[in-house]
Amino acid sequence: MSISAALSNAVSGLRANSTASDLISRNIANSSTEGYTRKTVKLTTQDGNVRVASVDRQVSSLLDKLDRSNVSKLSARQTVAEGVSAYTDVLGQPEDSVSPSALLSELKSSLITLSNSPDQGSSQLAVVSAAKEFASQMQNLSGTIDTVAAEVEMNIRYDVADVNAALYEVAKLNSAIAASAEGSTIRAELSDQMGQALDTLSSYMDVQTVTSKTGQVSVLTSGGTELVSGKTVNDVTYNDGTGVLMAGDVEITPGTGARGFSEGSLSGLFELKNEVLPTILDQLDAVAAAAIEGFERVAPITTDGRGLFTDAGSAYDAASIDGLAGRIAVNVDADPDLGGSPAIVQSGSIATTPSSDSTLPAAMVNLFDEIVAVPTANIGGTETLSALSASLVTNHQQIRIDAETSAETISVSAATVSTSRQNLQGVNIDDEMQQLLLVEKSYAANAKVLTTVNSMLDTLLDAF
Amino acid sequence: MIGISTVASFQKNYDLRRNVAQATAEMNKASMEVSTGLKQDVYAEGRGAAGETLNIRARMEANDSYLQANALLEGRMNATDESITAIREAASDFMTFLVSGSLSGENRDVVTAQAQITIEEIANKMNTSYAGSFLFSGLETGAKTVTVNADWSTTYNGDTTGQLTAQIDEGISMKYGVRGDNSGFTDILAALQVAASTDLDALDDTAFEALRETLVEQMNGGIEALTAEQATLGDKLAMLDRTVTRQEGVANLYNESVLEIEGVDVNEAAVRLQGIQIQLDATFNVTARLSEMTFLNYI
Repeated sequence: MSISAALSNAVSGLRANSTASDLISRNIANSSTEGYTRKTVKLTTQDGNVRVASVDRQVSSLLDKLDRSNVSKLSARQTVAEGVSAYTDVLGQPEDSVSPSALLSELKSSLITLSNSPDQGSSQLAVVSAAKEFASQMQNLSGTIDTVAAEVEMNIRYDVADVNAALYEVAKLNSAIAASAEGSTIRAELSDQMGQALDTLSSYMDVQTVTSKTGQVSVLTSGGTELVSGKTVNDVTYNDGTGVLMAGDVEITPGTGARGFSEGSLSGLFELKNEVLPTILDQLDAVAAAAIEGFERVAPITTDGRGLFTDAGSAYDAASIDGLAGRIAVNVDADPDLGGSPAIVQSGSIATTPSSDSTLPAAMVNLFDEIVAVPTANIGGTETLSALSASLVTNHQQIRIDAETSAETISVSAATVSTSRQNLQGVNIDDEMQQLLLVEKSYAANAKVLTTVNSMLDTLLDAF
Repeated sequence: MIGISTVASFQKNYDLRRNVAQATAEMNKASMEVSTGLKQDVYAEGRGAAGETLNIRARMEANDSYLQANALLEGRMNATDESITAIREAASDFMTFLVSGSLSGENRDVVTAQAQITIEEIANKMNTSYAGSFLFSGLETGAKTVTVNADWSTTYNGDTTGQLTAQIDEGISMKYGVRGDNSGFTDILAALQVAASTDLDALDDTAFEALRETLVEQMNGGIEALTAEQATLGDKLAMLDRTVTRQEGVANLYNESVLEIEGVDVNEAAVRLQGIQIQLDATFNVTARLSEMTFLNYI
């Protein structure tokens, strides 16, 4: 016990309080920074001095893991929902009357009118117009899917670039963390940046992380493929020709094996690309095929046997159904805009057909209630043309609703975890200000000790 | 030391913002429902029933088309019926005239003239068109049904192969046309042609009497045949009426079914809207008060 020890203690108190005020000011300044974790100073005593043992981050690895997992799941569902809704928006609501189901109903109505007034030119034209509306909307829907698919391809490339950027950020931070002192403010800041990089990565793909004793983080896909180990990164590459996603030399394409991943926006994009969009296209093609084949079979309107609808001008070919929704067109011989005559929907291009013979229009009306004679791409069971088109619309809307509902469910449960995580690691300004008051008082007291001891020393020196 | 659990300022603000965003979205939905009377997203809210509503809408649209087409058909059949009635009456009038006239040679030329007028009248009635289509030309509704020749004979120009047929409901077709080559018309016109083209004055009373009897018999046969056609047409009109009545009933049913699936209880939505407004008001109040309640104000 000595005056010099008192001086030393007071100085250590000033130092500790300086560090504490530094952290409090950082906390307050970053109170709105997403991913920032609240820092606290851990003090220890040594020979009467107070010493900063470490700068602690307020985090829970369990909450971090749960929250990142939820983010991955939510991101995947939202990606699918957004992709599908870009298409279902074109389908509209039932009262919008723009769906294939509604347009086929309009075509049937025009045919009913025609079958009762077969000789009326306006009724014949109305049938051709309604048929063109249907064909045009089928092409439009097919084109929308193509656009969404192109968008998905582009986003996969963007996501892959972002994933690689995040992986390299992790590797860079691993190096920096290894070079930083344990328990230092710099180590705490670097760990924050690491957490933010992993949060970013989790929105693209679900990953596992392993943190070493030195604070370095190894990143693996949920299926166990190594992405980052120390400073080494296994680049993620995407081959748009084969549709294969690789990490180094290991395939990690979602949905194709156990070594990849199954959540995150990148997984959602692959689900759209490989499952959802092809299913929708197949089903659109099936409805187009049912229409082309059906009208051709029950009511050919040209002498070569083609019906009201054609495959880009040609007759139905069971071997080329792929892409049919994008090619379905009204028989040009019936289209007045292309030099055809709508009258053939009544006469079948046979000159001797009496003008009020309703055989063809009636056959076309009845087609809507006949079981379709083409494969229906799992749209439903045994369906009529009318029911098939309605099931098509409902199925596609259901894909959107399932993804949206799933996203909503995850979102609700994820909010609880996210709130707990944010409350744990986030900053409460009032609390920080209360702590600052304590630091201020302590700092003032230590300063007072310093001046008092200084005064004592002066008194002692004056005595000589 | 046991750590203090705090609520992060950013998270507190975020939670309030999220509550406001949710309430605003719900308010938007409720106000849309109140203004349109329909669900905002039938597929999401109607669940399994959404597919049904598309099917019902398709049936409703077809039903409406049948109703419109049947109204036109009813008009066409009524016009056909009226024309046959007029033809029958013209034939009857001539027959009455024929049997009531004296046998003297002085007024037989009146019979001839009357026969010629009647032929013209009947031919005109047979050439009636409805919405641009000739009623008695069979399937060739674009062809003028009959033409009167110089010798007062008539030529039927219509189709001789089929009968006009209409689709009156799902899977129900009805043949309704009456052709101008029907024996009713041809018998009457043939009898009239004889009366119009024969030199009646040249006949003695016995021959004239014999001819008159033959013509009366032939025309009676024709009138009976037309009466039978009208009876069949009447039956079909009755059948059409029954179909239309049923379709009108079904139209209401379809409409109600669609509204049941796609519609909302507007009163409920209005009450919900009011509730959300109160909730938003409270949230804004809390946000404002909390932002004022800070330790900073006391130091």
